[in-house]
Amino acid sequence: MLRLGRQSFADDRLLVMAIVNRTRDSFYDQGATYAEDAALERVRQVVAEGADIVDIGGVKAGPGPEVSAYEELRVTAGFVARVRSEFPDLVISVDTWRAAVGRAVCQEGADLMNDAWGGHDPGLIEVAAEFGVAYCCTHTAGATPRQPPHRVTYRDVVRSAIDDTVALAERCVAAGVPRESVLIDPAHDFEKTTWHSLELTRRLDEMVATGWPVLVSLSNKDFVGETLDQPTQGRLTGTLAATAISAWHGARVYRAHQVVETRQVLDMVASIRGLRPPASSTRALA
Amino acid sequence: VRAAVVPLTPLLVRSESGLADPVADLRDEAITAVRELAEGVSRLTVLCPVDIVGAPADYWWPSGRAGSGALSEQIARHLVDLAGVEVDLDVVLVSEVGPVPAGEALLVLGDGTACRSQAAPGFIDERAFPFDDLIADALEGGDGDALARLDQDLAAELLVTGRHTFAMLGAAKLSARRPVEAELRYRDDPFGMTYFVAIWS
Repeated sequence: MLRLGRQSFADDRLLVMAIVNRTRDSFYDQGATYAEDAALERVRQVVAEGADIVDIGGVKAGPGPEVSAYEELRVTAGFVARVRSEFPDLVISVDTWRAAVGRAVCQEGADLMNDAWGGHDPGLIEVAAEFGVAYCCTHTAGATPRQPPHRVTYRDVVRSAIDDTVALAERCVAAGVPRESVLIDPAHDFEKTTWHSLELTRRLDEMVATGWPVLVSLSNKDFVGETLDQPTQGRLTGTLAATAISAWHGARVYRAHQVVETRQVLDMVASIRGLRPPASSTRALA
Repeated sequence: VRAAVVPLTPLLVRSESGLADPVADLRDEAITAVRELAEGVSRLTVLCPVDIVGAPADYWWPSGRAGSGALSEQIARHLVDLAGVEVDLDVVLVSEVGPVPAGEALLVLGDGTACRSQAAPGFIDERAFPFDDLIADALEGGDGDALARLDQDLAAELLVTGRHTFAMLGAAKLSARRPVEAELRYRDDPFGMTYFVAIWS
């Protein structure tokens, strides 16, 4: 059982986490949902499309103009409250590394702290424990938030991802975050070359074998773009291929821009694995 | 002083950039420089930056290519292999400006600033542009004094991996007290990070 705040999910459920950016400059949507009303419309759309979780972010992951904690709070906390009032049962995740932001959004009804920078602010774990919400442990190899990778190296990137995220997960449990509410994420592209992200995808079963539920964030990322030589808007096919492989390996949560396509891939893989019956099977059965 | 300056980008190893080869010209210039440096000598003294950002002391290749040890030393050995020259290497791992070792031919590893574009390792820092100009002018003009007096603090902020090794090259020039014939063979920043290839003879 995976418990994300107010909702619990059976172990064979694959979950789509829809990205909702309240940023001016995120790489894929370039500020399309920076305005609060546009972001709320995006939430309505992805919920209708079958998203299980929305992941609200107020700071672009890559480098760019600084976003202060105050500004991040301003665009996330009130928005979480609005989403919560319209969708009382929806799992709301917030993509932040700052404990102060985490505290504010938990007060407004967030269910999951998606700490994209791997425990950079240790106080965020305490917030998750205090509010009894879920926490996602990402592998960023100690990177400073928003600094791009530069000649990064690992003796074994999968071993590093497992060791770091499992250690962080145990820290969460020790701090009081419910064990069934802790996820691990290899964090494709974060402090990694494309080679590293490909290897993490290829060997994702090793992360799944830790027993911690695995979240993957693949959507339209640079490792897809570099692999297929595609600009940002041409990466959906590669994203879905990586999604399928990750699902085959047993990842549980998929952070995505395109909900419908991701859901279909997950359903297809689940059916191939024999975990989900076809929506309809009458062919040659009449 | 006789020397060649080359970068230490992992992309100099052909297979690391996948199917594309965005630094073919750079690699050609670096190989030529190493070959010229090695002419008529049996040993090269190799100044290898380590333990600073961009110059890891232990580098395992992301592609899975075999090899470990300092990135700069691996690049130096690779360039010597590609140049096809038979020389012994006296490798000096450099993590701060130190005394210049004896030797008739210096192979100096180092890059310029890494803060020249939105996608650069250090993002954009306007101070990078004049700083690279200063290094380029010094390499082109054989100006040991300018290299020896590089602003080390600013160079560190701009992620200049050559900040120590360039300064040591400058000091070697000053102590030799002879003019050099200097050529800057390559200067570009295809990934927002400046690469130089230079020859001093």
